[in-house]
Amino acid sequence: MSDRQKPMAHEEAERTHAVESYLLNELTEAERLRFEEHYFECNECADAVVAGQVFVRGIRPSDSWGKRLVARLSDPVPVPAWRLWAAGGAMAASLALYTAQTLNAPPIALANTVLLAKEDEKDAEQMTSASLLTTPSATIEIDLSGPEFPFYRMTVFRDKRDIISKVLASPADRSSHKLSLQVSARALGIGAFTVSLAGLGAADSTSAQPLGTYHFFVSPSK
Amino acid sequence: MITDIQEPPSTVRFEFTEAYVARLRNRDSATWQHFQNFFRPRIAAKIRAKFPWDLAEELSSEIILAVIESIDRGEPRDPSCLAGYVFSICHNKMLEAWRKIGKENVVEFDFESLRENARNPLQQSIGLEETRKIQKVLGKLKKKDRDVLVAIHYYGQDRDEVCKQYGITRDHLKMILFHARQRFQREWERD
Repeated sequence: MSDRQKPMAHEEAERTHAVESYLLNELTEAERLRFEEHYFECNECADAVVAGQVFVRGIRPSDSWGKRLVARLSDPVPVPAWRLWAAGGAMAASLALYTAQTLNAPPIALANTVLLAKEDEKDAEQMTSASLLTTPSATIEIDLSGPEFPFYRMTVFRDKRDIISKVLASPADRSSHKLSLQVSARALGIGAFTVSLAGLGAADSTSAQPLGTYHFFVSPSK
Repeated sequence: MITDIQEPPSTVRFEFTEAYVARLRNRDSATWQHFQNFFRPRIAAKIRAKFPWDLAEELSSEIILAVIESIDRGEPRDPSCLAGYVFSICHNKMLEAWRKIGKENVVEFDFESLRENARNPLQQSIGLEETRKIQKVLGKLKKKDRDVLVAIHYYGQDRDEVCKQYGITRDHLKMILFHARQRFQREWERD
């Protein structure tokens, strides 16, 4: 940061509507840093940026005029993927299931057991435990061979409710085309789990694309 | 009695002093509270401009911690430059986080800390009250202005296409956002 330019003056920020340019991501990298350094000192601009980020993030059509707008837009407008994503398991039925490939199977006895689902076994009730691989912990390999995204959101659902979610930057090393998720029966507790992965096109995550779901179960040990 | 911690009018720059930094090192609760209220939203805003919102909370805490550790070591040499100093640490920590999170292909979740009623970060990011106010502001805008903002920010339509379709320039788009943001800010700050 030693070669950085002077922070933007407040007058310049006002004159150029820097807040709006910042929210629209239209500043150059140098301008962005100068403006950020300015609002670290300036209450007025900091308040405007924070309010603007919340406002932009929360923009959505209301029922009364949203449909009319969609009809007017020139290109067909898909339902934004990230809104579907936020709604949870809506896309699960149309996505592929995963069969275990990598397992850690230390021969230790834990209270519960991770059961990795086969392709036709989406629900705990459908499990035929005799045909399943069982282990106290497992590594689920998530396929990344599709289109590359700068970020990914991984969400774990237990019994169809989302319980934890994490945003990850695209791995620097994509040669293996996979992410490894380690799960342990002891930490998770008993239940039917789904891991969903979505690609995020930008930092504001408004263009996420569902990429796949993976199922596993934790059942009481026999 | 603390006299230099009163927040000045919003257009006036807050003056950080040697006494302020000394109180921070002594963990004076009022100063610490002011420090958090002053810097945490700025740090989060900078993170949100480049990273997904989900990361802002966690990374903000890491950055605040790094700043405090550095202040305890005697930095910054010129206390009046505290804001710029925090900005630099924030910027460097973000670069570091960017490099670090891209290195490993192994995902680690803190499953141990799971709570049954945990909400999705997306659901947490905008509260119901904010959503209501945003809808109120949008409802008061001219139809064209509202449609432009929704087309760009909700439907993710290409900005140039939207500007062309509605017959507006990029500068006009900026002004639409400027007026809408100001209205929202007035609503937001009213409470």
